[in-house]
Amino acid sequence: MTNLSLWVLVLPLLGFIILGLMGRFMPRTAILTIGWGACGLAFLLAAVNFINMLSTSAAQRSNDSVIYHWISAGTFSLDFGALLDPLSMTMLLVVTGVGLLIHIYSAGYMADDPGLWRFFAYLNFFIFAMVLLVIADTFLFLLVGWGLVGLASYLLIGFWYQRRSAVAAAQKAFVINIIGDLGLMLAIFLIFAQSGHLDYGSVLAHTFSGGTATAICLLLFVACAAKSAQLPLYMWLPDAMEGPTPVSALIHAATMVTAGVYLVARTSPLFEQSSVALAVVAGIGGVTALYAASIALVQLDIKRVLAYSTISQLGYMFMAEGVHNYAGGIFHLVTHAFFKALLFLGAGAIIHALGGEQDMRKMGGLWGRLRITGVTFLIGALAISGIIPLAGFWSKDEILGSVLAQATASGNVWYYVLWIIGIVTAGLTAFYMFRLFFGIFAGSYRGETATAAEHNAEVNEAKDENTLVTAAGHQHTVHIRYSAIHEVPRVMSTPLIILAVLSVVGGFIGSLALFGLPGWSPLTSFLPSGLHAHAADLPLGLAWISTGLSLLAGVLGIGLAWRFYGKGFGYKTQMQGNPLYQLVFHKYYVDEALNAVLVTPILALGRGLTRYLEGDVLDGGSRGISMVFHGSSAVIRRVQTGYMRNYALGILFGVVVIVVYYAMRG
Amino acid sequence: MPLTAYLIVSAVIFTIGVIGVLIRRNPLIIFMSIELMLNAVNLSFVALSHFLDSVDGQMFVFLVLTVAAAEVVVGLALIVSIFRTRHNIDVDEMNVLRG
Repeated sequence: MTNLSLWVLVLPLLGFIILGLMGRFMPRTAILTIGWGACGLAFLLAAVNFINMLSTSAAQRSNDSVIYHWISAGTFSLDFGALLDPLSMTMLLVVTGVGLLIHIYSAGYMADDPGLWRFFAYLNFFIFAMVLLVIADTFLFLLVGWGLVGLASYLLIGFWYQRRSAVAAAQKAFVINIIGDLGLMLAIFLIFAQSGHLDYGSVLAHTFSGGTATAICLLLFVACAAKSAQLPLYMWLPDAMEGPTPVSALIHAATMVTAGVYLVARTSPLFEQSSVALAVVAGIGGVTALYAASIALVQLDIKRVLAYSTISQLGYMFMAEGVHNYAGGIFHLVTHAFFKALLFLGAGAIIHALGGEQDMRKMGGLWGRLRITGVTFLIGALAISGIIPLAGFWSKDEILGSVLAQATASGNVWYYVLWIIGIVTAGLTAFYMFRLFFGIFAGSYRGETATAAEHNAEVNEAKDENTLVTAAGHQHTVHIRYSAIHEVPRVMSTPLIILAVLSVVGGFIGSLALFGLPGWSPLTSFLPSGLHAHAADLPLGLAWISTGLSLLAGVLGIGLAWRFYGKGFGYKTQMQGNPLYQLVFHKYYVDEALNAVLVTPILALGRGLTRYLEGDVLDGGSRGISMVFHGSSAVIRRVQTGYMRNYALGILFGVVVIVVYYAMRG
Repeated sequence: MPLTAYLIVSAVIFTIGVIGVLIRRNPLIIFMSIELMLNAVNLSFVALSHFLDSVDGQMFVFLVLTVAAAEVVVGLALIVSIFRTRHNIDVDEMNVLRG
């Protein structure tokens, strides 16, 4: 088992090294063989491990194997080990499984890109970093993995480095993630100072004093909020859509952004020690879910709609974890990985078919041309909207149920508010998803009808709305005639179909207690009991109310979207005068405010420092020192006349002085 | 003759050598002046050796003679090569290393 789990880690790393060093000289087939092979074998090994794990009893499922003794100093020792327990196994399967599908899809999406080898090298590197993050058994190696996935994300967002906006987005993501890394690092310092250990086993068994536990958990949550794009550190994720679409699907929807959810679940014994931290987690999750969903309502770039939707769904996961239902958070993580990867890959297929177009206003009517993409996208949209019996329904229902259970158990009115937020967000989710769906697939194609005047208007608009990235996706957006639109190749549609199937059946790994099958809950019983033991139980009647309301909200959202956009997406110009619309459309002016409050002053400070501190003080200092020597040597060098006679006289003079000195001394 | 007479002669020769080094411009003459200084020292060595009844001074004289011969060889070689490049061996013209 040790060797197997090690290879899950090593194979993607090998793939990265081989592709990184030699990929440039390899033919396309070799690149794909190595890229797919590394990830595929890792998935196979993870699956074998998983089957092995299922055959053991629940008590023996946690397997912590030391691979390398790194540091041993006195009583302190630090090992690099692989922790394979049901939680990391679930993550491992999602990461390598969804990762493999996206590797396959990328071969089609990136087929024409000269940087194909670089792309697969980075993808393999990401899989390596994420596996390291998941199977690390100490906080230190968690931090290493945590940092490396951030690096992978940076590299892949900035993959098209010729584009300014992509580079800027990559930097933004990196900087904000560093804030999170700092939080994680401080949390680890605090944990070590208080408990003297870094491995999960010892730390999670340790009881911290109340204040310390809260501080540690809040610092950990800073890290989670940055990685999982929660308020107030979410801003990088929408910008991260500058990266290639498979990257958005893999890193910025299915796997990396869920690292925060994983971390909270992993450190749940710590969070159980601090009710304050849990309340913060639940609150931030709920507010983020609603906030991001509201922004997603009005976005025009299809990838950005999905990005805000991801933020919103991550908020749901944190909501579940905040009410002790960690298993529920992980459940939603898994189903979300399926349907959000599906939606992103579907969006990628649409963008690919339209030659790089991402603006919903230039789509429409694609149902007739992109049938496979359309059907799978519809399944994804239904799944995320929480329509029974698709995956999203079960996990979202589980979350809302546990929030309501917490509300009734604690009697705290804020949990009721949180539950209502959850229901409302479910409705909003359905609405924006079907606005997106109808915008892309319903009505008639708007890509070729755009007249020159409209185009100019859009360009002007795009200038003052920095929200719209017109040239995103590929290097150049080409307008493609409707008849020229073709369904994507098989290499891209196959992953879509597989993910669509998973989005349909993925929910059945959850609990079916609601439907008279109280014994059926494979995921919950697979995961360690600590991940759901503290969650309150909901009476069946209330559970039905919660389920019914969330379903109703979803149906209502879809209905409204049908009412407004069913006949095709019309960009409502009269809405533009509405201040509320403007506020939401500009994403609550958060980027503008940040620019004004943080970026501009820091840039001004930097410019001032360059000019005055560096120019006058530092450069002046070094110039001054050189001037001192220059000046003094100008005087001294006159002694060096170059005439031998003068030197001889000097020697004579010196000898005379010495002789006189000794003569006088006697 | 007393020791003082030898030492006075030695000092006079040495002073002539010093002045020669300082005022002459022809390096060959300067070499000769250096030889004068060295031999002035040799003279005082021999005289002192005789009056102190010790052979140490005479041994030093041989050492000095050897070193002087070697020094002249190097010096003449330098002068020849300077003359070949500059066609002039006036020491006052050799001030390339002026600061």
